[in-house]
Amino acid sequence: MNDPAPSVDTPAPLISIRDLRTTYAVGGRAFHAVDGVSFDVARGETVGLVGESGCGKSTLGKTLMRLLRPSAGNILLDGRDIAGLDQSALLPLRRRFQMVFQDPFASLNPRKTIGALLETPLKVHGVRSAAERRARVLEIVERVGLPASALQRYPHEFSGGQRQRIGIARALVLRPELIICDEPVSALDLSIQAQILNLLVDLKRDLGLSYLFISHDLSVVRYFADRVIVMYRGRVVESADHATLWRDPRHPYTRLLLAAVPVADPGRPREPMPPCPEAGEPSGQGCSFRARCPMAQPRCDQEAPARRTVGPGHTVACHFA
Amino acid sequence: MSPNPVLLQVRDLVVGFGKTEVVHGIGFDVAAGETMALVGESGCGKSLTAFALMRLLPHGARIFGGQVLFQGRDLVAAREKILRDIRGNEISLILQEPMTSLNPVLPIGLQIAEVLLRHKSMSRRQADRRVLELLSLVGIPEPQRRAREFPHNFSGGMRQRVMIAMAVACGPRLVIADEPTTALDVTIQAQVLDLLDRLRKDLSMAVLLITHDLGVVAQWADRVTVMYAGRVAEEGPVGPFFRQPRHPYARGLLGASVGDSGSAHYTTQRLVEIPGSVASAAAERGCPFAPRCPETIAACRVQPPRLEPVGEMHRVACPVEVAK
Repeated sequence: MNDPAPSVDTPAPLISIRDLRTTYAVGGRAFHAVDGVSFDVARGETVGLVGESGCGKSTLGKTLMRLLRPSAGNILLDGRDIAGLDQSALLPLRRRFQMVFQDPFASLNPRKTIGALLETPLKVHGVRSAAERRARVLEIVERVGLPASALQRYPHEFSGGQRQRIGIARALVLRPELIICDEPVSALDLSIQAQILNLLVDLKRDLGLSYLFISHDLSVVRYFADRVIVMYRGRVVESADHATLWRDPRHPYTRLLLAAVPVADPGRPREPMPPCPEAGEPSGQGCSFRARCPMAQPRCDQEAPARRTVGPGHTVACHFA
Repeated sequence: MSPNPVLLQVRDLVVGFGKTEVVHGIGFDVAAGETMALVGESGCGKSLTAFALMRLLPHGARIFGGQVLFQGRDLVAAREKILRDIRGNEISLILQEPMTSLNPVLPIGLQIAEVLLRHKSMSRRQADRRVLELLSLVGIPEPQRRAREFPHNFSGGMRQRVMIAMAVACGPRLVIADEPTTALDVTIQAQVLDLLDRLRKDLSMAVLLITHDLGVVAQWADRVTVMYAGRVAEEGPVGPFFRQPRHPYARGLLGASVGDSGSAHYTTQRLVEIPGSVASAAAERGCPFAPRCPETIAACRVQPPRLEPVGEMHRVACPVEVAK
């Protein structure tokens, strides 16, 4: 699939994904969890990646981090393709893009102090001077809103929100340019979510970060993203800037998703959900959404729709949208 | 209270583990036929309360005191045999993860039939017929074939429909649904909650909906009770509650909710934060929210405030708000 590059006013993207495919072997057969995905993230931009469980959004994040090896396509970091690099060639580049995970507790070694956890990436990336490492760890811990005394303590001594601050500090200690956030606030209570989202906004502004923000929560993405990419079954079905996507969603799946989000306003009438056939996976050539689509036509069985541009920076993969 | 007669009255219910109280004497009502939402963040005691209502507490937990009056009968004091006749029959339960509440090695039709055979004087043949009706009722296609399949053959949304079929099988007066859609995708969540709501009306049953999601409350509940650290902070009809939440915690939650701000974007609006965390409630003698509250007065630190009326059917446990 030759997708139009979605960048409009952003000449040099930090990272460009082209026709990326990630394949798992399922029961001896190849399953493309990410199936020909293309998009850019510009410097200083937050791209939101939304879709339901199993749509491939987390696999895509892990593939960009090169925790998984793509089976096809390119990942261009400042124009250099990292899709096929081996781990030793990747290491020096890794400091430029880091990841924040959903469950910070599962991703923090319980037997190491926070100080040691934050110092490790610096050692791995060759910061030789112990004094410099200590200074950078201290700086980052204060930057994410934790006291310096946190450095001597262990992960279990912190609440969920504080642990996510530690996870963010660990991602930031190498001074990366891009942070891939995979459901960073989904495990947190509402009152803590706001604290973490505000922190991520401050960090982006102060450090000039770019984010790829993966989430199933459309309300959070609407607030937090500059541009939004909607995935369904491994493919991008729509992408647009945040205002356009909510004002003028084109793909029937995007419309379904937006209509399904319950709004905290009892006066707002709810749109009835169309019934969802418990899908036998539609196979073969056609559009992967056709089994649930209210506007499916015979053509949708025959031909997978290509992404086409319907407005400035707005693409949709549907024959009829 | 509501125009409908009261079905369930919870009074001064205290629940905890060992010697530690987790739920500190809460009270609320559920009227016949209504959806009452019990909301709060993780650890506030909402699920423990739900299990205590049916005396199905996890190991080590017990009811320290209080009353659960269901159609006038106190379930806290009732004999176990009476509870066994009520559970699954007059009151039933739907849990977050249906995979763990269904038996993985029995066909789902048989599991639904079991409930009917336990509570209704039905022959096996009648029960099997009723199972097919129930499966169609909850929107499971091809009930004949699906009844013979096992839980793992169903998707998450369909499994939750099976749980709903089982929960409504005996025509209960009250269904307690503990985070019934938290594990589901948002499009499936809307379908499952619409289904539960339709059955509530058609079968004239009440739903006690336990959730952390204020959007779900606004769209599917009639009334809401907000819990914080094992106490009721505020209760009221959803209209007045969302228009003008009175407890500073409830106001903070709605302010912190990105969904509520509608078209808010980080470039133009900062989210309202509730500072600190719920852990601070443990050491507090007074209002559990006082350590995080922007409006504390001296009275807040003396003893936990009582619920007092601030509008029709609308009550709040906050001396500052009550004085306004």
